[in-house]
Amino acid sequence: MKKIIAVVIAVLLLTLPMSLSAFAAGEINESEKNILDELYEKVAINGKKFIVPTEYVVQAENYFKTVDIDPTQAAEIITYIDQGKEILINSDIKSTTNLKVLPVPDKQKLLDLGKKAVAVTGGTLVYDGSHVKITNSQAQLVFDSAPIIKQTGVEADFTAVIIAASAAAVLFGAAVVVAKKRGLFAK
Amino acid sequence: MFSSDFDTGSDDEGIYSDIFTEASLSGYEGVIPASSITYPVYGTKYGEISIYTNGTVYTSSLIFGDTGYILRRGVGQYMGSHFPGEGSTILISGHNTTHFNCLKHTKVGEFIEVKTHYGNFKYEIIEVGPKHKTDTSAYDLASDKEYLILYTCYPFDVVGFKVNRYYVKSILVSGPEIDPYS
Repeated sequence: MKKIIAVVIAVLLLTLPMSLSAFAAGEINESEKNILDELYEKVAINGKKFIVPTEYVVQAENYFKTVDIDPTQAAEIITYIDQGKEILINSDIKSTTNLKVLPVPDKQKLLDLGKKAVAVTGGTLVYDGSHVKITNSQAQLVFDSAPIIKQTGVEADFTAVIIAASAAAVLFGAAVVVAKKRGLFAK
Repeated sequence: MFSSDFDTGSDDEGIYSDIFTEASLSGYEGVIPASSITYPVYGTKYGEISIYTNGTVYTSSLIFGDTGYILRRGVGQYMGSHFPGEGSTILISGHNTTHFNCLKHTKVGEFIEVKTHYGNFKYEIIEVGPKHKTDTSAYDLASDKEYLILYTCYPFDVVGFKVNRYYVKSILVSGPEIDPYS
């Protein structure tokens, strides 16, 4: 849940586009630019400043390049954004530049708002306890909070094998100890 | 939970499109209006990377996104990084046993070409070497200079869990510029 609030801020921005034609014009319009400019700076709410990680903002920017903002449905999404801002304004954080320290109940409220906002455009937000993924109405991944640097080798399968082998070795060793104690090994 | 070369399937099976192969590479020069570009979504091949090293050229498909599914098919661009021509950092990963095994041969001063469906770009390698996977000095996604950063797991030929990555950092030498607001 560490980065959940920063994620949800970006989520709420990602939900602004409502017309999800697959390959719309790539330009970023004035509304999108203003949002992105604000995100690249510290987000200031009621004197409190929050930082959205660059990688989240860039994902939002890259998503804006594939859709066009339609103001009609955006109004509903903006209400969710306003509700999210209220949560941040009323939070107990005194002075921080990092969204990670928000209380868990506030984080959960923001997550719920993010899901509602994503659903307006037919998208889906999934939080698996560690990462947030957002897919659009065409099931295309548009946002992922997974670590920036990925695993790019064959160690994953081998890791699983090593873990399994280690577990087997521990069990075997434990069995031997028990057997010795019980005098099961003949001398 | 794990990404792997040997995954037999994934939830995003079938989400793979190609806007590069059929594109007409008209060789954009100068400034390209963003409104004229069809930006890729996750799983879309939009270019090819050619690495000139070791006396040969190593070419791989360039796909937007960097999940295990994508890395089995080519090299993947991190979705939180920028596109060639945007004047900032492009972060691309590939498997150390396949597409990016060639990174072990690369040297400062060599060149990398990136061909996309909207233009061709050339980069010169300025730094190579391993760093811990948590070392954020390896990349700057907010850079105001255009860097192409390729990375893969390190060491190359050792089986096992790897905490290091091998980075090849290059800087833009030539290519069109994208105007995001036109």
